[in-house]
Amino acid sequence: MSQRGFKWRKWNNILHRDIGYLVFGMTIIYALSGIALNHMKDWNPNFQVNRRDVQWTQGAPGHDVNRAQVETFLAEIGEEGMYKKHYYPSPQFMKVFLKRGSVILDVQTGEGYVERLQKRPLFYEFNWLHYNPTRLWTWFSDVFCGLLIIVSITGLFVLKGRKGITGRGAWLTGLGVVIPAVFLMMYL
Amino acid sequence: MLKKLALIVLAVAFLASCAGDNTDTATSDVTELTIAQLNANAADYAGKMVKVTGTVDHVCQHGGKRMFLMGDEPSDRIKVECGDQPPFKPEFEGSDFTVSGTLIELRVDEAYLDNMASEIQAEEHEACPAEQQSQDAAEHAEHDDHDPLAQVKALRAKLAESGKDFLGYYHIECASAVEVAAK
Repeated sequence: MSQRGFKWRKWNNILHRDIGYLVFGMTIIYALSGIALNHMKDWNPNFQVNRRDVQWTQGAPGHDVNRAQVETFLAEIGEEGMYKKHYYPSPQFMKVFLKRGSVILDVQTGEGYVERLQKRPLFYEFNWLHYNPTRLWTWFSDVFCGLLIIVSITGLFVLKGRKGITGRGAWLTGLGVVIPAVFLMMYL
Repeated sequence: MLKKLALIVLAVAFLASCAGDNTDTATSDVTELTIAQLNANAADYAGKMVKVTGTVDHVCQHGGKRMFLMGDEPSDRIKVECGDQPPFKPEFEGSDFTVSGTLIELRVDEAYLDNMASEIQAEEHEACPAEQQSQDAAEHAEHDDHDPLAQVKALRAKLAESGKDFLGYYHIECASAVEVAAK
């Protein structure tokens, strides 16, 4: 049996398939967090902010409230055992740090609110990774991006014929390049 | 084979233990201060290792890369950036932390402000030429969340008032952050 040339398409498809499996998880993480962070002006991508109004029940708190008084107040508003610290960021307000939240009160009127930050499940964790938390993760995500490049390039050559890069693929790939090019020409 | 492997492991363990000796030297180079002392004499400590203890007033919600420590007075504040350390967690807010790290100085002088102003003007010119033509100034200003050029103007005034060549803005690049147990 004569030996044919190097079966590049076979190896192209193997690479595309196996690296594709490998990068699936990271692609979902970066894609979802990318969408979340893209709309940072419209929502808090990491936390759901829950706020409810409260009222200091013994007149106005003033500027000399001690820990015991604050803890009594917290018990009255359903935040018993949540006290961490309190201080006066300005002459008008008192801030109480809670475990995973805070209370802001007007010292003269006693009006205020409890604010709790609730982590958005999945989005908080995915966004945390997207922010490049450590140098090691930065290197890992560089490798991931390199693998994405390989998956993209090998994907161009998976199919032959009219559905391949010389047929329909040429139009669709061209469109995918033209759209960002137009944006660059218009806005850069 | 196993003997060789054991020798290699021992050698690596020996070398790793040698690396730990640096901490004693590093500790002796660290100056411990209150946040108020640090802010009052920040220029003297720029580029040096410092150690402060304070209450975490705020942790950046976008990635936790920075937090603000507060001293005895709310006005005594210092920004801490995590650098190569793991990001700060939002649960740190309200807790006391001892932070060691290098005090980094950002010098804001006239050249810096000139550069900042030209960058802002370049962005404004390119970003919305259509808006500048079709909307009146009041409507455009209403949609602005802040006026960066006004901030530059305010910094220039502050610089002039100070009588110095530059304004210094300081933060600590964190090398370690240890929670202080609540009393």
